[in-house]
Amino acid sequence: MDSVCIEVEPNRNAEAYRNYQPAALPAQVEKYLDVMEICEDGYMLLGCSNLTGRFWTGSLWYFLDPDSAPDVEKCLTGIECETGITDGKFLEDNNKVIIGEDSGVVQVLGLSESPGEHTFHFESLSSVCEHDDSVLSVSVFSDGKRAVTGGLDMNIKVWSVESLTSECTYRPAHLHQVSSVCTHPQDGSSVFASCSLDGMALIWDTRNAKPARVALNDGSQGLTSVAWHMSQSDLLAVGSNSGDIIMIDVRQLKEPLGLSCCFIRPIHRLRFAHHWPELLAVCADDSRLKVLDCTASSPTVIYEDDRHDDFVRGLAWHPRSESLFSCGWDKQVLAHKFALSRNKMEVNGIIEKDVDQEQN
Amino acid sequence: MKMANSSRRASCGLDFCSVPDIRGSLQGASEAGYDFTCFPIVHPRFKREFISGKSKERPGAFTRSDLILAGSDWNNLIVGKLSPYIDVDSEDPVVRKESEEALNQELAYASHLGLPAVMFTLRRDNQTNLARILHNKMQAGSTYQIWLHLPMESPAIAASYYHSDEEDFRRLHGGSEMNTWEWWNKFRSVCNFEKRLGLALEVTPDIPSDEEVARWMGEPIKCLVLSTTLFATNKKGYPVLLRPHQNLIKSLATLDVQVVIRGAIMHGCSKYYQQYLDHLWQNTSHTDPLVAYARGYEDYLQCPLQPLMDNLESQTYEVFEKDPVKYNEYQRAIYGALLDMIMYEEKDSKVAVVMVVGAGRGPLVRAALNAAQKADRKIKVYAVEKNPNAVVTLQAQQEEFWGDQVTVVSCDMRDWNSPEKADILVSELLGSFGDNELSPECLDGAQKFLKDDGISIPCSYTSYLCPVQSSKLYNEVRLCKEKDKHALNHFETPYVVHLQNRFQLAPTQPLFTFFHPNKDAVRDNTRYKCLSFKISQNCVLHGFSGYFDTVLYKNIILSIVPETHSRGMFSWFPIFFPIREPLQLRSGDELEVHFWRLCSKKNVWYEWSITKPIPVPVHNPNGRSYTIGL
Repeated sequence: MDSVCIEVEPNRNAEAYRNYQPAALPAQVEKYLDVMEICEDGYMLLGCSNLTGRFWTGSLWYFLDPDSAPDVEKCLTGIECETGITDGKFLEDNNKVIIGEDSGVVQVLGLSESPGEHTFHFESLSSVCEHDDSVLSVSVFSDGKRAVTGGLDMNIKVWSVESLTSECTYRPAHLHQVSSVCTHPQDGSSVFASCSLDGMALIWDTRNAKPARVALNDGSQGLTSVAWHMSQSDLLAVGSNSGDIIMIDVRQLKEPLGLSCCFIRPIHRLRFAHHWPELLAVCADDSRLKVLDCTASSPTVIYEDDRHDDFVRGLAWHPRSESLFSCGWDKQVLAHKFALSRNKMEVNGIIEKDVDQEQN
Repeated sequence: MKMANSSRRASCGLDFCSVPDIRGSLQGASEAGYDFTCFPIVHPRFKREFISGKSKERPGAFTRSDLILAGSDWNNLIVGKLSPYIDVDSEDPVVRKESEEALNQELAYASHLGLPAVMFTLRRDNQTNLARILHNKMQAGSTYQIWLHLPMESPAIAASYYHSDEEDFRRLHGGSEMNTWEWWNKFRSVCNFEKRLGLALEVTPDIPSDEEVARWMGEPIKCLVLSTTLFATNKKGYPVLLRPHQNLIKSLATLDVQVVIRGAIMHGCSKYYQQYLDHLWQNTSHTDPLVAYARGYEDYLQCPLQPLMDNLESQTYEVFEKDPVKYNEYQRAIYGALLDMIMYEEKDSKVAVVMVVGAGRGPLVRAALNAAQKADRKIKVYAVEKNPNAVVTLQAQQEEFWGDQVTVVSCDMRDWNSPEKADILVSELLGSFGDNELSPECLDGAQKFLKDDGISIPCSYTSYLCPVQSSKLYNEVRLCKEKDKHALNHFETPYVVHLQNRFQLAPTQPLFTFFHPNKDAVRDNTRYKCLSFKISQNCVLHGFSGYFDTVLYKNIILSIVPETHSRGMFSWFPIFFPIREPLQLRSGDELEVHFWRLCSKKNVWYEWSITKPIPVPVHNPNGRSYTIGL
């Protein structure tokens, strides 16, 4: 940001700061990159927030591909939001997105492409504030018609995307903030998982009058992230405040399948790969990023990267180029390249790890 | 003395979950009629790293600069919210450490900004480390209050309805963990009932039982948190509360609480909630003269009057003479006594001698003269008063109004030698606890000039006792500590106080009774009694409230016992006997209390002790802290 050089009498420093009205700056990518999504065509969505400073606003950006992010010059379009963007997902046809905001707003935005010129525009199609506190997590059902959101208010809401009306409100769904919700990868529109700092992971089926059942109840640590396995849809990965990843088979909930002490900081986000369903990308309140192999019941780390200079927040697997992308609070978007040979993984990341050694 | 707070406006705050533009939000809240706002101190998602790693060196400020608002705005308009993920009681050592550091940083910044209060949500019962840290800060002289936000009912109850195995879910979160009062009680007990620790009590859709609500009423509630989802919509589209919530809030409104509105704005604009609450507040204004008279005195400790030892001031007479009920009842009592004493046939021949002992500035003389006129009986009045200053007033009235019918005697009734014996002895020597202004001793002394068949008005009085929970009063008492007195002095002294912020743990029970004239062969005004109270829910004992009732004559009664209180009478506030240490009581406990009234040649005093559920040392031995001078 340009430094502001107005002549200010030294004893009027406070008033000068208080009354300073920043000129309407051209839109810029905010400091803290929180959200990253890549659609099947390789287009990328980037959500970011100002978490410090004078204004705590956010913005959403659309890039042709992840490599051009977060350079504003290279973006296809962007839109400013009143508050920070906490999570977001592409909707069907990839010309719409749904986002959650710090203010509790859930918003559906359309991406329109003006014919000929190949310029894009975001427009807000609908925006609803029904959460009583910040939305923390957004997930879209595989039928593309419904989405689910969870927030700091301990509530979970299921939305009809078309009209952006809430079909179900579970108030309260948890006993602490709902840190993450994740829809079932195959079931079209009714099953999802949630987890919370209250130490519980729950499986929900919106068709039932009593929709919830406990998948995991860990009295000793808060749960921060949840993800379904992409092909073995009975497998659920749950991340904890202590940095553990817990694998659960939802058919038998008595005992977790396995556990990996992946980080020693709270897990932030878990992302299974579409192409290699056994690969799970993990980030935490840490500058490192890890990829786990979940073939065995106890996942093992096969890749680690420490190029980010601050917490890694957003993770997205590229659907075509077999790479993983990450973004974080250091305002960087980084690529992590993978190649697969037979059963054994070959990793071409910057920091390579010997898979065999790791497993021993 | 505190000034009466005459306005009945609701003090309303608006909670913000995100504050993109702090000046804009503050202005918006103010325009919508709110008195203050609740803002996060640090962005609720902005986690910091305090232990190791690259993020520990993250460049830049961790939150907004103080320069953005004027100091007075920070000091008056903003309650700071701590980050929601802070968990200093986590079993994970890293989470614990990071949380402690984050908490310290945010509290230090709140202190720097000079915020009036800091709010944090209590989510479970085991938060002992948090209690310790906050208590430490308050001990170290932090300027802010701590508002502990918690719901009246555990969210686990509402959450369990979504579970296929509801019972199982409740078992997981069951036991004492289900009751949020237990969370609060544990927390504030660890904080040693710190005065600056208050409750931000969230009203839940389901209201707990009346008994539980009554228990909350004994807690230091700083504000009520109302979620916008509690509001229904009326025909015109405005937010309104349902009847049960209205009643709950009206009853809590008497405690001088503030209100915080939180949650998504569902009715167009936040100002409608504020307007509705203002409307609700205005409708709670009371017509009872007691309430109007007592405003400003709520939970304010006063030392009991000692009219026998000290002479009352004009101001004090002025206040108490205004009672609309008391003197009317005395007048009715004298009227009844005169009719019973002098038959119709004797009404012109017989003159009743009425002695008003402790006549003060004369209200009872007036009552006696009025009664005689109404009853059409002849009386002769002696007005005995020991306070020479009040005697001036009596003599003036005697000269200008009363004439020979009244004789003013400037003398202590115990020393006076009356020229004749009285038919009716009228006195108002009762204190909040009946006998605590030494009415028994005085009337025993005056009895010598009452005829054998004479009548004493009052003819009897009884003190009553009730165990109470009130951390507010406990703190008020704690603050009464005086340097040059015994270390426990302030815990062994009864106080006169208009009890508001308290919870009665069991029904009131009678304690000591005195009859007049005292016909016992040997007059003994010492008393002892052991009372047993049944405790019906978990609670904390902070002391005992004391009341009295008196029979003036036959069926004419004055009472300040809550169950039978004479409506509109404000002459007496209850008395409060503290105990040294709060006593945790469990549902089903038997509370056994011993009370003594003891006398020496010079003094009268009370001693009190508890023997069940646990023994407690006797309070005020030998009257070391508190006596009433004869």
